Amino acid sequence: MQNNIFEETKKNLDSVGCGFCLAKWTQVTMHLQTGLNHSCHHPTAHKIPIAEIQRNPSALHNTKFKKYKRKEMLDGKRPEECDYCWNIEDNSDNYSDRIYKSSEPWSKPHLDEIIQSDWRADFNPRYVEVSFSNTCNFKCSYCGPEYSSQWLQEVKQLGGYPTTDSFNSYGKLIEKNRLPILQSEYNPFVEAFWKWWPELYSDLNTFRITGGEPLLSKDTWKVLDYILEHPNPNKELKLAINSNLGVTDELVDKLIEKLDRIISEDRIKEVIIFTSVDAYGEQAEYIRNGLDFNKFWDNVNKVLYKLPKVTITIMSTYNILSPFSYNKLIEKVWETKKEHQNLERYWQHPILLDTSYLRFPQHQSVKLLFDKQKELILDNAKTALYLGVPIFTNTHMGMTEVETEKIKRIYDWSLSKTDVNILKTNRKDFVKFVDEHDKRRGTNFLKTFPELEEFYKKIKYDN
Amino acid sequence: MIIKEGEPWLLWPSMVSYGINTGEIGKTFEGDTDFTLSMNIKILTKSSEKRTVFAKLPNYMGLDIEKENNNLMLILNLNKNGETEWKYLFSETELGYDFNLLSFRYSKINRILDIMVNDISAIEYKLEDDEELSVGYEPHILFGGGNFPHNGFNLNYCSYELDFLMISKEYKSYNQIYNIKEIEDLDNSIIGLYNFKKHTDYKVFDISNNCNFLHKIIY
Repeated sequence: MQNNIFEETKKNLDSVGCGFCLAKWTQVTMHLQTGLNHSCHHPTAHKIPIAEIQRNPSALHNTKFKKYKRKEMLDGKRPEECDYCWNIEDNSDNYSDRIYKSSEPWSKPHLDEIIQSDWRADFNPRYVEVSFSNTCNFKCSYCGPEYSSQWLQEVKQLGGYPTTDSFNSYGKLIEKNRLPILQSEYNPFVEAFWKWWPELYSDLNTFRITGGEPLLSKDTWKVLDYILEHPNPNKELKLAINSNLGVTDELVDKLIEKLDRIISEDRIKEVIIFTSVDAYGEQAEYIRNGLDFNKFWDNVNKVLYKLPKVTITIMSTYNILSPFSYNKLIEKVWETKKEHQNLERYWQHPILLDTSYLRFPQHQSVKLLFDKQKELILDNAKTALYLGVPIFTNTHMGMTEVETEKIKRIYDWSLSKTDVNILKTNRKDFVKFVDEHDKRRGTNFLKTFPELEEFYKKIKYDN
Repeated sequence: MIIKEGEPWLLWPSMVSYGINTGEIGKTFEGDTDFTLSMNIKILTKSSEKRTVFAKLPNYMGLDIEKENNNLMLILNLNKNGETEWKYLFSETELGYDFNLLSFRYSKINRILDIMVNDISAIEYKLEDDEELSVGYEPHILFGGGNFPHNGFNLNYCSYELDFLMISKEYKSYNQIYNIKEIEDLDNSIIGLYNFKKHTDYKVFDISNNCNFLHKIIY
């Protein structure tokens, strides 16, 4: 479907080259614990050379590698690493993220400046996502040692899981040069970040802190203090902080106190907290090892009560263990929306459920379920639909069209074809994973998921 | 559930169901199949003016009440040899102000439309050979009014209490309707069934599991 804004962006980009995309300049995700970055988030992350950041801290984003990709774009070529978008552009009539991201308010105003700049020039990104460390008190089933110190500790001691691909193997981490630098160790990437930060901060449109668990990172607090103490704060900044909301009361209270000051002193445009939960009750606790489900909701309520402008978005990674209790999660989100409804929220709703399907690791995908079990996904979508309101406003509170449709999309996706042999391998791997999980972590899969007993036994004992 | 005066409710699933609902419930009333719309209703708006119990739009087909004791009037928009024709069918049967099981039915094979109040036939109309029920784009049904409030005309608001609503793609007998009401005896012909026990501020749950939720009109 044609859209005037996107058509105009496409025309402007294509006048430079068919592979030109502003996000290569304006957006970056930096994993400082492993020294990796990518622009945008679609291409595989590449290493940041230490020699480059010693000379120029903005090389955290403006690496030589990336500058050559920018040159390709300005020369009318399509960088191979951006094939996510080329696939969409070559195989459908849809706009790719190249168009969407280049149309964003943090990209579009910089079009002329970027066209006129030399490809060797540094550019301060406007949309920055950063992970300072892998320190985390959780070890979620689909996560790994690069993003969780708990996972790192486990696989260092016990090795990877006995799946076909040795899930989260410590050896592979070393082999791929992805071993994270611990928070307690010297990290040249974090050091470079702080050198660059004063210059970066004033230009930022969006700054999002991820992890690990950001509330366990000293650098997260340093960012908040910087904003609090700055004589001329960037009032256009949209700040987003990820948190599992499963840390100590002291840390949650400290976050609330600092954000409350930042908001009340008008130092920022908006603050959004992103958190995660993928099921309800004990089933959610099984998926997100370390989670205390009730404590999590106490913290959600505390944040929403004490920060009446803040919206919490739940990034839910819908996986094979999600469908059985997801209706209860949807109802809980709906009740929370009603309880904390007001006219002040940055994003209108106090809480949003953003459901995406898990692609990796494949042995935890919802695609593994039998077709009959997949009907539960549709039932989840029906629950969201029933609790929905057709209009997205502060005054009419319920599940939104997007919240509902994203669940329905997972149902449609779950029914798409999968190679039978791959499916068989992944199912076997799933059983191996939960068996090992129970052994290592003292959990009881069949007690927690009685709905999957037949599935489990069929996969485990049938040839 | 009470439908308040000036706040009609709507059955337009395709508008708010994002492809999840099934059954094309609005199309049920356009003559391709038999149908029964049955509701247990107690009128609350006391007036001698015309008031609308329900109305199918955009090609109007609705049941009104008029006079002090709620006489029935069925309005049909028909297609006759390609031309639009209106039928106004009056009844001496009074709905009063107590609960009544009101049913609107269509038998395709007999080409008969009728209105029953409990087990009493109140209105009956046999379509002529050259008459058809008219067909509209995205048909939907309003309860408690004849038009959307923002349109500002033909509103004829009516407040009533409702504890049972059933929409079926079959011509149901009174006994069948009664059984469905009393024991929620579901069959495949029923594409919307509501006992009003499960609801939110915006939706009434469809216990037929077709996601044809009744919903509030909000702007």
